[in-house]
Amino acid sequence: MVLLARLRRWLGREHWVTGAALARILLGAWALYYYALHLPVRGVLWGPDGWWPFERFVAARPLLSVWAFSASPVYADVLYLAGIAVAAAYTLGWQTRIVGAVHWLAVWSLQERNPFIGDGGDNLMRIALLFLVLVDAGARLSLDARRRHRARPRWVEEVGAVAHNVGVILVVAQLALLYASTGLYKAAGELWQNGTALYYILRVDEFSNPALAAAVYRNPYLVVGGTYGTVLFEVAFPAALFNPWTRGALIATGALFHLSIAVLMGLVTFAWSMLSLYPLLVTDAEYRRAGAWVEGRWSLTVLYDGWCPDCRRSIAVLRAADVAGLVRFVSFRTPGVADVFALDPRRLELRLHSVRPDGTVREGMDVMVQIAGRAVLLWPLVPLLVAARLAAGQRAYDALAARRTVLVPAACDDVCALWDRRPPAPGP
Amino acid sequence: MARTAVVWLVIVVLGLGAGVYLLNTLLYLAPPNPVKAQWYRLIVGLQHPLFEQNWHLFAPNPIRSNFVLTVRCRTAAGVSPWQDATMPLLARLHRDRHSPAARLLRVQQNAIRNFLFGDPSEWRMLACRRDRASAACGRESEADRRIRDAGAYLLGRVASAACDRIVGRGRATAVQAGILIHQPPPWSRRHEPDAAGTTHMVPLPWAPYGAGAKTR
Repeated sequence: MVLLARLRRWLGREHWVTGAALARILLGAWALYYYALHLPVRGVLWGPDGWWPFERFVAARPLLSVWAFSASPVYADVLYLAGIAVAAAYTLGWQTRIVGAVHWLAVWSLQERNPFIGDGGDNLMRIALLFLVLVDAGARLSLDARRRHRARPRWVEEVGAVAHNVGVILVVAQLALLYASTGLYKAAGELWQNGTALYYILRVDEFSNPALAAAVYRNPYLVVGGTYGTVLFEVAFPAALFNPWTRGALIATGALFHLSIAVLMGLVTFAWSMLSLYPLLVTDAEYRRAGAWVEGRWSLTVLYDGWCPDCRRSIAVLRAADVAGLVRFVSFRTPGVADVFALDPRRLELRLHSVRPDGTVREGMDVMVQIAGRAVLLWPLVPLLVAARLAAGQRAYDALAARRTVLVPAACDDVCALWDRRPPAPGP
Repeated sequence: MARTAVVWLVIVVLGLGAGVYLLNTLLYLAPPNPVKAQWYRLIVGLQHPLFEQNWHLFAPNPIRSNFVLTVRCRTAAGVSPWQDATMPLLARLHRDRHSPAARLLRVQQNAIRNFLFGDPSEWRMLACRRDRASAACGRESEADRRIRDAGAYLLGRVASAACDRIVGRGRATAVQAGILIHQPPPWSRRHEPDAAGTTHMVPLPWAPYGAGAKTR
């Protein structure tokens, strides 16, 4: 009875929530990439007059493909565009469970429409997407998570959590069965046994990158190491999942394995779909610990001028761009703030200041670079900001900061005082 | 109390479902064995089509040949020389990994593999190893025939599309595909170029241009 109660308690709480959200985003982005890449050739690959024409497709009696309803090319285009919209909604996590089911149907139907186009990655993805319908993949990093949640009765939450946990276990177990099965078969193959399989694979044009392959396949150490390493990794996968250390090694090896496949063999979408499921191998507690480590190292407190409307507006934009929430914005006008950080209020007036967890203080343009480095959405601006800092120092920043308007709330008894600041006197 | 019962019902149903799925997948992916032989139809019936899976492209032995599709076209003026329909896609793919050529090439190569190998059933190979004369050994299965036919048909379509480029759209009356099977040199001669390998050709019969499908 105690065991049953513990089982119910464990199943009744959602585990792997962050991993599920990351897997959803990666799989959704995969589909968007795939749809965009094949937009110009969609007619040849899936169109009614394509290489596998509508009549052949219908004659094979596909189970449940939305492409079977009409032979009209317009219908095919509409389906394709609808598929893109659904993939986008799934990536963003909007109505995730329902949209997830529709996205599975779209991917499944597309694969059924042309059964010659697929590889192992596509095969795994369509099974994983079906299991992910059970999973609460929209609880984090999603539009669903931003909306206010209606309170549901506890037992409904519990049923949802059971489905979620079973779904995640199914996906991970399916992945483990895949590796174990192909690994054990390889172990029985002559070329995998004598250590030369990688050589023969890399000499096949379809599976090699001509710029790099020869350097690898002529080197006996790389060939034998890669061949045996592959078999060892695949066979060890299921057992290694159960210990946090071996699981970490598995994730690192798997990432290296699949990224090498992407680069050496040129199988980009295959590597992407396989690695999309890897976030599920990390527990929520591990994500929290990793998050705390990053925060301890990279979090930043920024002191800005809360009396300046333009500054407040800019800060709002920066705060929205800081998706990871690493930057804390504090107005230095709030009484006591300057004292807490032991900074001179007159200098704070001149430039933005930042304080890192270890107490390092930066100002002006350097703070802009720091914020952009931490806010994922501003990453494209980082080179520009660094270049501006190196070329012009703090001058451009100071010129902008000096022209700002300051609104003093203390003077707002009857009329608000409003004045343009003159360029500031140099600091001490 | 009723709510507790519902929660337990969900746990039992999903737990049993997951357990059955994983056990069945394990047997489905396993090599031929006595338990699988006993329950084969049930195992495959549960797995297909929703959870069909195949992880055999590189196991037990990896693909080790280049398959090159060559095409010639018959027009009113005569027959065009053989032309390579694989290299252009391969060259595009090697120039840019983020190119739709990857999947166009995949369709062509999967069609070739389907045509050449059909449905390589482990059970039939097993039967042949035990007794070459057995009925199960030589016979081509229904699935086998379907897969080879589909491959041949698709190669006709790809060849027709290639003839649109070679002799101009709509000008060919018949197309012929040929598959060049190239084995690169073995490990012991790894420093030699691809040309040092062996090549042989499998020609397909002439097929009507467009091969029955509507052409644009």
